[in-house]
Amino acid sequence: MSTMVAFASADSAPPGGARLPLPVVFLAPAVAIVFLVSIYPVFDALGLSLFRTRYAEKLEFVGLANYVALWNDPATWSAAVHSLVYAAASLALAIPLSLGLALLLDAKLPMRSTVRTFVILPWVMSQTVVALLWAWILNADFGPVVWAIHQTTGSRPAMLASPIGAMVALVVVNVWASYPQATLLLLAAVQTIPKELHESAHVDGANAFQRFRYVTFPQIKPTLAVVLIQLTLLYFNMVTLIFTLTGGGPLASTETLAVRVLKVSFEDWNIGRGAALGLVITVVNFAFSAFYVRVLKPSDPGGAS
Amino acid sequence: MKHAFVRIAAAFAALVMLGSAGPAAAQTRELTFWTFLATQGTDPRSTALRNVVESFNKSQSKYAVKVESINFARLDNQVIQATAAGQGPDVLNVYSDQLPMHVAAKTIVPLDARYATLPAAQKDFVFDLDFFRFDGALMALPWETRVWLLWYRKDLLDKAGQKVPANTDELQQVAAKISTDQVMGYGFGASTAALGAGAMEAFIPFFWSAGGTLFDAKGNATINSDAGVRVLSLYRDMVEKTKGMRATVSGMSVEDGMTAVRAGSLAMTTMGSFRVGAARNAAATGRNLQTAPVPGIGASAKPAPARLAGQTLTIGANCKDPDGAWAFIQHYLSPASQLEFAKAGVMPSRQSSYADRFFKEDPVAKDLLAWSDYAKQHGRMEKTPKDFSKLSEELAKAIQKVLVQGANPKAALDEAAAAYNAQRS
Amino acid sequence: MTPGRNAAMIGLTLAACVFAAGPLVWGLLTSIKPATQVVAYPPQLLPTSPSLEHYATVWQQSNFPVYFRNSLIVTAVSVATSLALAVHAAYALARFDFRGKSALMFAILATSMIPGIAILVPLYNLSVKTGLYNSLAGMVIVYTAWNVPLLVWLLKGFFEKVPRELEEAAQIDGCGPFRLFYLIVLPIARPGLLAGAIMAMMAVWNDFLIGYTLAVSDQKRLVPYGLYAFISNIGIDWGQLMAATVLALIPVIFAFLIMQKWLVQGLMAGAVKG
Repeated sequence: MSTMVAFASADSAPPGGARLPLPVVFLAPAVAIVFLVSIYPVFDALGLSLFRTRYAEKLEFVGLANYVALWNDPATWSAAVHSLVYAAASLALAIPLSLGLALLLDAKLPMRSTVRTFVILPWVMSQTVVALLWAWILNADFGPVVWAIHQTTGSRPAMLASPIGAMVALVVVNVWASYPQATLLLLAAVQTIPKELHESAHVDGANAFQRFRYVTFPQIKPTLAVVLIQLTLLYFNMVTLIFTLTGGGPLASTETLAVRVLKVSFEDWNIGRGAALGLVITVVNFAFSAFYVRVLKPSDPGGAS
Repeated sequence: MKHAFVRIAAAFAALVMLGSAGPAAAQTRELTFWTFLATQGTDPRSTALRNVVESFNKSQSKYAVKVESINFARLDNQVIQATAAGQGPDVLNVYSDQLPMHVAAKTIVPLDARYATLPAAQKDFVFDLDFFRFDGALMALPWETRVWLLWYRKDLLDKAGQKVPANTDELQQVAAKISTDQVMGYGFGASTAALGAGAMEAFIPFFWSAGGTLFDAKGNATINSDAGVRVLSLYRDMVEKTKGMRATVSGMSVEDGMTAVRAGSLAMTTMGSFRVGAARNAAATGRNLQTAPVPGIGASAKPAPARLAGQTLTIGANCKDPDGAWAFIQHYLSPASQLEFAKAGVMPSRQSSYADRFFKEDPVAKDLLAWSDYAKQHGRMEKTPKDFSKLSEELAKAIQKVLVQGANPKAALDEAAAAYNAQRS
Repeated sequence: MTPGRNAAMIGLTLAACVFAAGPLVWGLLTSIKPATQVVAYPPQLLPTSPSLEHYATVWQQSNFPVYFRNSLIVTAVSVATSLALAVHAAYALARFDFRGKSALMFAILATSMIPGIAILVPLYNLSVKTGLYNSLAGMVIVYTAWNVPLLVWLLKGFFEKVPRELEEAAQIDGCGPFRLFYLIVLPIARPGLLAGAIMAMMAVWNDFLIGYTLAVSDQKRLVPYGLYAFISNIGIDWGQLMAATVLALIPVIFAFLIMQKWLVQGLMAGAVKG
């Protein structure tokens, strides 16, 4: 490190403590903008959450009344349940699917790179685009999915019209939109497994399942944990897809906590309470993340390379 | 690498300039007008709006109106957001149901002083202007009149050998006879999209016909009266017994319903007069789409009351130049402008507009006159509270519960009314 | 491998491709169908007479080109700015020791865990106070800040891999610290910059909430919210909507195809970020 000291431009460096200037110059702009746009607003939200509001106006200080109101509102709790169901069901589908696809893409396939490009294509699509595309596919009047179900069962399903149907549709669409990034990460992990391990297991007479269980799985476990938490947070905080596809309906059956923040803030125009709920969600995110840091600890946290 | 950075910096600067550069305003002052109507696209009202704005901009040199089109479901939200940011519009279009919300959010200013200067001949509104007064102050002036109608596809009714239903008993039978795999007999946008507006709009005429009123004297919702139960029972019977309607309406937005009528997969619906022009604009739809008064409830011999509402114009709280805003509003309400919109299938808001020759000659005008007659004979207005959309949303949920989950109509409506009344306090 | 197994693999592969690309293909086909065929039941797979009329309408008779231009500007400027900021910060964190460094690194990591939805209203208020409401600059600043933490973590990893000896040799040759950074270190981190660029680009181009909250006028609208323009109160024109959707996808698909190989590294950094 001492060799680096010489870097510091002499004119701005205080004598004797010549370590800081370059890092300060390099770090200050990034830190400043992050502080302004990410940290300051959290405190602003905290302030806002302690006030009664009317439309965009801040009225009087009410202490924790907004939090109490949220606690007592059954809609908060049902939204929490929806968040949980949405995230859990999506994970239950997305993890096996992306793992399966990762293993498939690792195998010797004709035109492997083309196939890979196709399979991860949905990754580029925004939640708005995904929602609109699927709204059209699931359209009750002209959509191919409704038609296919109609042909096979003889009745036209009211997919987005029933609470369960809408949640199922939403989960499927969500999985479709989010599996590519999990697949890519898992594929990267699978590809790092030395081929000899598989070969020796093969020689030992292990079948395909055993080879997965005892060779592949232990090797990709850390990546799997990362993927799990990455997706959990993604699902938990998701707004745009749900908002565009179902608007939280029918019967508020797809209204998750994150969607509720948007509705309380900008549809009911109760921005104080919306801010309070937003902070609750932030706390949940940090709790997830703390758990996640613990999971990751054994490996290098800067392991971007 | 150095070159690369210079290039990037140059590109950056160019992009920033591109982003901020606007046309230099000369002598004319710019007025922003926010509306749900687009100036482009296939809606005939878009052409009318463009003509009205252009003729205003040409008629004088002091002001230039710039139209800002905002998705109808988001317009009010965006006005509130922008006005609180000091960037609200000079002139804005507000739908009559949304006026109370704008009054409460302080996004608009009273027009009384300016209205008083109008000659009597220009005060001949179809509406009772009390509808637009809040605490005695006139907050907006209507430029459009609308009623809700029974929309039907004449081709589909003819094919099934059915005539236009005059009451809901007939509606139920006709809907059942038209329904096939491809076609739903009767339906309406009962989803909670756009805060349940579609459900409320279709519900009200039947509900009034059954003798209901939306609110009691204290402002509590009374949709759970016998009249309300009767309407929801009708919906349920149509889905479960006579099969003239499908439960899919619970997920259908008004726009979906409109698309379905245009495509001929929905034969009848309850929809506003203002959408007819746009719906007919599709080649396959055209005059196959016809309208009639909304059927009265049960075996009623009288059509349902015609619900009256309208789009209004008013001056925004952030308005920089109220004189200019008022000049534009006057131009928008002038006979020439009203005629432009009438040609696009919009019912004018001023009595004198109907005197034009156009109404005696044009086929479009025949519809407008029929609607206007329906409005005159059976028209009804009920002022809505600022949280009306909350009630609409609760009603949509009640309908969904009945149609999808098999809930009891009375229980579902009780719950809806209770939920609305609880959040009022 | 047995022939049966081989066939099964190919079958699975085909199924995966159809699953992944099917919805997009359906949208694409819809966008070139004539208007009457778009709303047909039973739905028809192939257009009878394919035409680009919906694209022409979207491009010539709607404000979509404006949204498109806005999105391009906001994406380009914010990606460039966030890379510029992050590359310096990452280098400082990777090469220098100072008091509070680990706290700072933790703070940067923590900010990326604040969900956007939680600070939407404060950001709206902030943009109003600073006069940046309804301006492209306001959106650029927010997106830049949101991308910086991820990019810092990503690039820090790259700088840590640059051999110290290289820098020391350059110093002995009389290379100053800034020249050393810009001329020697930065070029080595190119893969990291590309990985970061594609991640940041996707995030900005695809975001809905900020464009929805911080811009109101048609002239300042970004593509994701702009797509709503095709859902009007006179019905949804699905042909036009799908055409607009396809147009919205062109830049990202193009970027994805040419930068695909950097993507995995970007995602790994995202994994660290959470």
